[in-house]
Amino acid sequence: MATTTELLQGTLDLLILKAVSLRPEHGYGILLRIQQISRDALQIQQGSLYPALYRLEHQGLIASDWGESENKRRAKFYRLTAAGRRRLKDEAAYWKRFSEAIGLVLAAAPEDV
Amino acid sequence: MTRLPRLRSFLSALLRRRRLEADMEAEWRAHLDTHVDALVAAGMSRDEATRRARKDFGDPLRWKEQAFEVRGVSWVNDLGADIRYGLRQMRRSPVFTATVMVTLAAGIGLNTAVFSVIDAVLLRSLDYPDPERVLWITGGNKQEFVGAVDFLAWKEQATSFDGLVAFDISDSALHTADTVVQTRVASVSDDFWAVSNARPMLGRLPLEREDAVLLAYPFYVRAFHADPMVVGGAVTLNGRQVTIAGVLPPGFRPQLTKPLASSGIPENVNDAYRTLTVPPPTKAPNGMITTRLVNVIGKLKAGLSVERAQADLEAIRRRTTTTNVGMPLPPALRMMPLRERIVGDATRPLIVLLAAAVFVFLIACANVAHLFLARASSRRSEVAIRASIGAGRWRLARQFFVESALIAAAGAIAGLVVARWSLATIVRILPYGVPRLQETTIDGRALAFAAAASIVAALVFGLVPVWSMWKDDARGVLKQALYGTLPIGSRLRTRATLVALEFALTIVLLVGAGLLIKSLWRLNALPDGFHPDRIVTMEVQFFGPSYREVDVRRTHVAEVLRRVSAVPGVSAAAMTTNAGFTVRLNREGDPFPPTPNDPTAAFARGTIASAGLAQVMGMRLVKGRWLTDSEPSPAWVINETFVRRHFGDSDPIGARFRYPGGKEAWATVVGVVADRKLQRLDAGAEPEFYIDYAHDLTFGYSIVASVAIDAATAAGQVRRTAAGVDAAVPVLEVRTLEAVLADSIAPYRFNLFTVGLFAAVALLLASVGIYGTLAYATSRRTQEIGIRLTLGAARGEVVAMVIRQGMTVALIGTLVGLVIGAGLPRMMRDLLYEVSPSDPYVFAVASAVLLLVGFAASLGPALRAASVQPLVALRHE
Repeated sequence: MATTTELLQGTLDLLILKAVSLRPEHGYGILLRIQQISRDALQIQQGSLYPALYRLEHQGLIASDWGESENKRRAKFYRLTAAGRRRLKDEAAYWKRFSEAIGLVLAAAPEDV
Repeated sequence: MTRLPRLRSFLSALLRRRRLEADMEAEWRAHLDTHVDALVAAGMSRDEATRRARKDFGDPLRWKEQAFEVRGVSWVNDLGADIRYGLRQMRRSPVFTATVMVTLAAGIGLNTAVFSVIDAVLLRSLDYPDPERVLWITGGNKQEFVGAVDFLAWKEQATSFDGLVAFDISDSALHTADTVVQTRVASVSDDFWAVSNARPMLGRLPLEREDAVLLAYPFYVRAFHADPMVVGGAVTLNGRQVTIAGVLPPGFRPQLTKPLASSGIPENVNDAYRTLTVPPPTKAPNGMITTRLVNVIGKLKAGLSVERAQADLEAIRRRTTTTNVGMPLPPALRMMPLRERIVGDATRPLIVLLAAAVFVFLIACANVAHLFLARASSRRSEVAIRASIGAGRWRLARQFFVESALIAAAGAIAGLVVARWSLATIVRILPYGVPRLQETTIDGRALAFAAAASIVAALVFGLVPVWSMWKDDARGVLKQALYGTLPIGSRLRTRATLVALEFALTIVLLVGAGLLIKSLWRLNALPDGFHPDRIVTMEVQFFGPSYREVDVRRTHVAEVLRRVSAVPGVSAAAMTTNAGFTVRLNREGDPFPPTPNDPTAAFARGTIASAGLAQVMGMRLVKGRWLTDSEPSPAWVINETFVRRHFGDSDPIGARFRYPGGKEAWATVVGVVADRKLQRLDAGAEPEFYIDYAHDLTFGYSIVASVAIDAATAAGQVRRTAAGVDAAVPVLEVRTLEAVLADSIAPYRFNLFTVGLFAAVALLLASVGIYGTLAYATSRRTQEIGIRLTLGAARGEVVAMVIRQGMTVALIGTLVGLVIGAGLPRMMRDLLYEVSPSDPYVFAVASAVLLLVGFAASLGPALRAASVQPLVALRHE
């Protein structure tokens, strides 16, 4: 449990947007991808993914269609909308700047301070 | 960009919840199945995998709830739940719900109705273009009229008016092809058409100096069956031929006189408008100036002040009177807005009524407040329990808010119903002829205000239970609520103050109602031997050249009385002119006989009467004898007030007064009668005299006949008989004297009915208030009472204790109210008759009634407290 990080809402959103940006994906697939992306560092209850998905859909950042999964099950596939793509770009840029800033802070030598 | 899809998803979540749920379930089942497959593939047994997948997924109910929340619809669903809960609460405590609704309905409804009527009376009652510029001009000093001499001079010289209209209103007989109809004719001088903006729908306006009439539309329909052929033709009006110049449109009804509700004609609508050419004054050889008297209205030039116009007219009058007439100048003119003149009488009672309605409203708000307070305390434990099992403060606050709002809204709707009903009632019974009153509708602003105020009261006090939640932590409240150690002192004080306030307001209303009751009682005190219900009265008017001679009129009267007396069922018949004129008293031998326009002159009201009048009216002779129909010289019978004022203790019999109306110069006093109210119940006693009709007779008189049989049947008989003497002399306005008298006090009855009703409502609300407060207080003290009883207190003492508590509040409220009341009824002085606004008797009775009601309301809770079983009460702990 030490590796479990409290997921910030914004982080989960970003991960979902990233996950569906590559290709349309159903809920279970998104979950696998998030675990893959985060190298299992982020543990969430699987069901909690769905309210997050619905919120993003409600905000118009992703859209969904029913389709057939690789193991022949009826599943709902989520894909990024134009608004979602813009949001992902902004968020990614923000996180990049943020982590660079954090990195700079941590890399600072005592004499720099 | 994203607003539209959001709205769509919000709405579909709201409206297609079931489909959405099915969708989610399908999606999640697929998810679980896929997960199970993956776990099985990794080597787990299917059962194990299924369990594991469920665990990994988490509680679907929670996700479902969140799924709706993210779409922004959860509050809507909660609101629905709150409303259902609120409705259930309302059903569960029907007494509470009904009391609040009735209270709100009374407060909102009465206030709105009264305000709407006042608005209509004060603001919308005058049918003139620029109504605020239309002034009524009178001769001052109670005189209603203006001499034609002044009017003609003003017309010629005044610069401050856009138009000056002389007019005169009379009931005339109009002969149509088939019948004679009583017609209210307004004779108007030529500026009237411009001032009132008259535009005939048929025909034309009259020409200058033409003797013509324009018909009002309702009369055109009633008397001429809306036959356009009559326009341009001639009719006979009071024996003279006049041309019907045109017909005025239906909406045309500018008011000219104060409408008299007792005239029998609703709103005093004029049936026809006739041209009036004001004649110049005539000068007799002896130098006496005779001038016609007219009513005058004028339309002020835009932007001019009333004072300026008055100065203008006064200056002209001064010149005219001194140069032309050589008479001393009469008192200053009085000018007022015509609206004030027309609805002024109705305004004062309505203001009193508004004050009463505001009182009821305040009492209603106070009542709503403590009804909710009482409930708040009984629901504190509910709140505490719900809070302790996890209900959020906002959630609880919202739920109480919804509940209060529901009750308040129901009350407001009931208020609207009450407002409509009271408005219709007030409009129907308002005894003042207020123009266009029938068109009064509910004033939206008044309704909105009253509803808003009471709803706010309900909401504020409805949230009380949650307020305390905000301060205390839930566990503390819960403990206190369950173990009954809640501090209740401060809330009880608030409630006691509210109840005292209600009592204070109620006593003022009760005093008002009491004063009105006493007035009406005084008014209705009829002397013995006077039975107005068995006296029929009707009006006779002489018209035309054949009745110009007084002897012809006298013969007619004698014949009418002879025939009417012979009608079966009639026991006596007489003629009277009902104190219809006033005479300047000039007693023989007075060293300083009064001059015309002498401001110190004494006056007496005169009635021309026949021998039968004393018997018909049941008049009591105090001294001397009554009149006969064959007096050798003019004879007077005077009343006691006359004697008191002009003779003191000396004997009036044989005294002589100059009598200008008759053929001979002097009239002799032959008798004295007791003071009586014969036509108006609200008239105080004035010096009066009766003169025999052989020596004076005007152009109109009333027949009065006392009947032994049903008055309505007899009235028809009498009318036909009287009209049979000469078909050209119309006999109109047939009524019983009782009806005439009832009309004369209609305003008093109206005031009493309305203020009395409001006082009764206030009394009811105040008693609900004190009952509620005491019931609450005693239920809170159940244990204390139980202990007292266990320790040996008698039940009687407990009863006394509770009643003392209630009566203290009632007494304080009443005393405060009496102080307010001592000042307030001053505004009622005009509404009272022979009763002082600070009548101690009325104050005492009103206080007694209120305290008695307070006592009765305290008795219930007191008895309940005394019936407490000590053991049960102690187990409460």
